[in-house]
Amino acid sequence: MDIFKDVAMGENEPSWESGEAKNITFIVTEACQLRCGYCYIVGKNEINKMSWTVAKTAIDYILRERNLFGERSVIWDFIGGEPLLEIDLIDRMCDYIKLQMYLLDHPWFNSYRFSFSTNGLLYGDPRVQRFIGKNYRHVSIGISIDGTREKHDSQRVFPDGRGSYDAVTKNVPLWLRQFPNASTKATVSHDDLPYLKEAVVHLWSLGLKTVNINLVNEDVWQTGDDFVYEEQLRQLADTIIEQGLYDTHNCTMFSKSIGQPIDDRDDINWCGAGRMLAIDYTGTFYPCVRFAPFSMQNKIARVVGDCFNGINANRLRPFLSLNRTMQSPEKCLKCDVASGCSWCQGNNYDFAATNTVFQRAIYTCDMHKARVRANQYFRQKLQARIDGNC
Amino acid sequence: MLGYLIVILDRGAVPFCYYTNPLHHPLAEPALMPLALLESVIRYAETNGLFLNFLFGNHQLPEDYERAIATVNHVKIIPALLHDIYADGVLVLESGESDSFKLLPSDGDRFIILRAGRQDLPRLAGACQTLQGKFKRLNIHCVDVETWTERDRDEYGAQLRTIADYLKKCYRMQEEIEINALTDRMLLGQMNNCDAGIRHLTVAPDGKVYLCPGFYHDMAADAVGVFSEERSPVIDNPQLLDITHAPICSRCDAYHCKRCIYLNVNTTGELNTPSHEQCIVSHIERDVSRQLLNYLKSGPPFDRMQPIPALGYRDPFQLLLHAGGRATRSPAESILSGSVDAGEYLIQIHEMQKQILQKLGDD
Repeated sequence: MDIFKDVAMGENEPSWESGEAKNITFIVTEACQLRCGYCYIVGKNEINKMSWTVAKTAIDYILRERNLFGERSVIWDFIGGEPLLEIDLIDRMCDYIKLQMYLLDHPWFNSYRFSFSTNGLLYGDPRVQRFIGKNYRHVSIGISIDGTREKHDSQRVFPDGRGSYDAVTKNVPLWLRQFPNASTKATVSHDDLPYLKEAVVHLWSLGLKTVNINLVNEDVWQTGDDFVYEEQLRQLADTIIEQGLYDTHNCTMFSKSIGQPIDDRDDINWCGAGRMLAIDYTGTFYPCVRFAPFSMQNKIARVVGDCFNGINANRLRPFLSLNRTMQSPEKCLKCDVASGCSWCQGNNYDFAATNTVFQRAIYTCDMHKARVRANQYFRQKLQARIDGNC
Repeated sequence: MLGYLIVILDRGAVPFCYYTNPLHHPLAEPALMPLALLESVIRYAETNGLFLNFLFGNHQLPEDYERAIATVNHVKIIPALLHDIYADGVLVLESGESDSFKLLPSDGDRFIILRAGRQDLPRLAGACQTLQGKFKRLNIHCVDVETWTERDRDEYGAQLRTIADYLKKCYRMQEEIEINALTDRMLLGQMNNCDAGIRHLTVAPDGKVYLCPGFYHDMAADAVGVFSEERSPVIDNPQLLDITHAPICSRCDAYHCKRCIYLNVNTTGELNTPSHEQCIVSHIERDVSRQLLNYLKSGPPFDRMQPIPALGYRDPFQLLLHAGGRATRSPAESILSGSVDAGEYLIQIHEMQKQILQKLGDD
């Protein structure tokens, strides 16, 4: 019997509406109070902010075109930059969305969420709190915290270099009172890899039960990083087992489904780019935020329409026809531990040799294998612990 | 495997396919490829066993250029203005200029390319019939399908049916001509696409190598590399040119479709992904070909050709959407989704299920 299957650790976080909801992302501003070292948004600025006219036009288009947006539910996602800098606009947009969904007798009425990914600095702001109170049953908010003060402040810094840890974590108690099941998303790059274990343990100590960790997809990994990564995860596994946290806490570094070969018939694309929609301050549509101009390091943005002229269906066809086999190199298709190895379509495009989304970036290959080995270690050690052998 | 090079002799060269060349107009001055480059390309082609297709502008070549190209086997692709100078050239005609077609000499061996835009559609069949007796093979290239409306596509289908009637008459008179949009699919059992970047590359007057002339004339920045006799160009992501890496086309049986990568890039942003409009137009051609073959199937050589199944879709992208990106189109789906008569059903079933019928017979 595989005991790993029965514990909370490694469970996939349940997604709202089984992940079938339409995700519509408004990039309301390109400004942010922070200058995180790993941030993929390379063009932060104080100028490009969404106007009410653009926001309203986009909302009207999306609610009008039911054939194009036929999902039963919707997640209205607000990001930036830092979205809460534009809380007044967002509040107005959300009021308008609710009103229009009601007036149009839209299927999304009462099947919607307002979702935020924020740095948390403005979480306690009265206007933000008023918004949360007004929309409480439909709001989900994720605050990004990278772990210990040392790790967090090594990347998530203000323009003058000061760390943002204290300014963010002072809002965590309020956040967890309002959203007890909230989870955080921490991003790990080369520099902060040695702090991974203590970062996760620290986040749990703040009261968070689930910690989502993302490795950056870009070409930042150096020789030997995979061993550091594996060692960090092994130490984390030891802590989880020694402290019996496997039934009460979760960390996405551990997964029950990782590290298996993928059947040839399972040919779906990992990434949802194109099935979601991102809208920037000009009203331009992108397959996701990672394809917007301010996210691009090497390529021009991939536009799929705009709120004034609508979706360009031809520009969406590559995204909707993408599958695993046609973008992956042979070594990925034959990989014995392929399951759980993720990719970002925007990152693939940005770093591809040509202007294509059909070339998978594999910078994280060794890191994924290290994660698989650490998961095997965790599984075996947990089994031994349960069996009473250690 | 690379088989030939297309050499653009003049910046104002005639556009012979789906792309346009804004520098090709009657008043254009010659802007020739440097002679040294041309000679270098010829040497490279000879060394590597490549055939050469020369794309001409509106002007006869100077003598030194003529001497250079005469040293090697080649095909000339020429505009109408040069038809009497290069009688052996593949003639590129614009459908909108069909009034002048009657001036062309009769020639039962000539290869003609007829470019037709949206405005020309109502006169397309008439233009083809005006060319009767002047060609062996006629390639119709629709140059602006991405702008066509449903009405335009209906018009194109109607024109093709008229051209099919014209072909029926020709075949009754034993006149064995080919018109790509209708006869290619009848003859093909597998994809026969343009294969730019695989079977051929283009060398332009700027000394760069392109996947096809369209990329030179429209997007000069998208060169594969600089031409060199010493080093063959290296194409990044070459797998994307192959049908195996084309998620829509690899499920399609419009085998005659040129699968134009230039149009793909311009409409969808990807080399390997066709636009909805391109797929629809190819399937209109496929369906009229199916009807034509169905009519002709009783006599040779058409009785030996594989029937073309009826389909329930006009854009194979629908197969991906319905199958969640996993399934392939089954022969049964082709049969059951179409509106064909019972006799045709039986023929199709017979062709596709021969083994089953054989087994039933054995039992």
